[in-house]
Amino acid sequence: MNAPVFSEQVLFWLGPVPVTRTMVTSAVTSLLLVALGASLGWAVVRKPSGRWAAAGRLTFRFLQDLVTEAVGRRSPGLEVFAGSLFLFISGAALLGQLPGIQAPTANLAATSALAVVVFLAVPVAGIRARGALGYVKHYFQPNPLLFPLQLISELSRTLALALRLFGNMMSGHLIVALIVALVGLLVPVPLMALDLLIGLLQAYIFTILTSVYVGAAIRIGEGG
Amino acid sequence: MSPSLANFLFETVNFLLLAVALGWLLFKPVRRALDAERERHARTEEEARRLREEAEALARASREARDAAGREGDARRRELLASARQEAARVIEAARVTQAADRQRLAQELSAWRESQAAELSETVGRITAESVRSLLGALDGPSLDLALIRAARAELDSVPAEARGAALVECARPLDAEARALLAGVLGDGLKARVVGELGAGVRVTTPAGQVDATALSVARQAALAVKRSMDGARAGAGGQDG
Amino acid sequence: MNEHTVLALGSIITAGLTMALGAVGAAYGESRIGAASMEALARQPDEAGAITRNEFVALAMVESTAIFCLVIALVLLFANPFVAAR
Repeated sequence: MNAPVFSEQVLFWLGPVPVTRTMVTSAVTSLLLVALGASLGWAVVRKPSGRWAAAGRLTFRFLQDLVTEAVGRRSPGLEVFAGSLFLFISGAALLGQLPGIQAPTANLAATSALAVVVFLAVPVAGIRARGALGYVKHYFQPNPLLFPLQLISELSRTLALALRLFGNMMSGHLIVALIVALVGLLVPVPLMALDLLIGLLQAYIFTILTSVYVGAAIRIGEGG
Repeated sequence: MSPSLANFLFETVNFLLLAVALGWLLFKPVRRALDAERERHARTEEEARRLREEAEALARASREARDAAGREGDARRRELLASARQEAARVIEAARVTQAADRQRLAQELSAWRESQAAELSETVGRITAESVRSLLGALDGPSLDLALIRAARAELDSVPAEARGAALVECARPLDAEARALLAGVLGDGLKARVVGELGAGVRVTTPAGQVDATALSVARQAALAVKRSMDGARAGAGGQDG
Repeated sequence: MNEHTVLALGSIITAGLTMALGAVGAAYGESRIGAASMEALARQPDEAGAITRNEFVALAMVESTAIFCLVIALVLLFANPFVAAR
């Protein structure tokens, strides 16, 4: 048994750049999401009374409520950021249910990329909301001695974000692969359903945690 | 380039592009549409509230108008009622006055009638009494009656002063007999002259300068009639006093 | 029993222990979460939606400790830097 848990599967080389399997699936996911989002947005603008427009509005309201609940106020930029994260992770989980396709989020490099993006988005949002000085000041806020702890906290939570998503998505695939290899074809169906639920749940959690982190950076000094 | 690093960089760029594309294609138009919808909702609600306020104002105005009309009608009704009541009171008063006048007139008529009737009755009774007394006295015609009457006249003549008795004129119903002449002479003196007046019925009438002493049947009858009339008049006056 | 075999044996045993202990902790934490959320549901049935949502979030957070253990176990099994690839 030699499951490709941590290794990259290089499909072909584009000059010096290797093109891996995960890159292809994530690109496909992104393209599908862009097409879906564009059609939803078009429907909301052009045919506001149709079902497609209702779906777009529901999706938007769901994401907006999610972010607003975590942050405590309306923040359009964060809505776009966190909403895109949710759509990407859940879309990847759904795509990973197709036979022969591994979800792009079951790859440590991909989830690390998402976590790093979140890690970088926190200071960006904080500086935009409070200014560079105001943002940097909060690292030393209760006590300058806590600065290393703050930094470690930010790094560790980024690592936790990446590892949580990766472990959940990968373990589901691994268990399904194991059971298919050991028992048979239709046996892992309930586990696949659980895997689907876990994938959507992880998307939700990733989005909420992102909203909380970025929202905390936005609300620095507000006593929240 | 290691595959993991390439994958990491690709995923980063991929996600950022995805976020930009979704923000531009999905989030912005939907947010704009929802905001427009919310604004339209707010405008519609504002309009609805304005319309409701107008409707409430209209309803209030109509209610006030109705109340005012009701008040006016009430006032007019009260006025009509009061005038009708006054009219009725006036009519009743007039009727009462008329009735009182009628009653008074009737009472006057009645009393006048009763008075006349009573007068007539007393007169009739007096006449009948006088008639019956005279006829009774006439039935008792005779010297004894004459004598009795003369005795009565003599008793009365005693109260007349003696100096006035001399020139007395004596009238009698029939010529005086000796006994009667002696009775009168005892009072009037001997020189009395007697004149016979037949209509006196019986008895004598003595006229002196001090007065007349009448003891004739005619006089008795008249006296009786007078007494009857007086007593009836007194009874009527008592009854009338009780009436009045 | 050469050095390679000892490393492989130790890695496998440690992977199993990691998974077992991590699962115990995660299972205990998830049971606490489940009990608490059931109690909250019984007390306030009207808030069922919010309670369930927060319960799932908490469950996933606790579950992630077990997932970390799983990742470490898998690293020990498949990507052990001290055991040369076959």
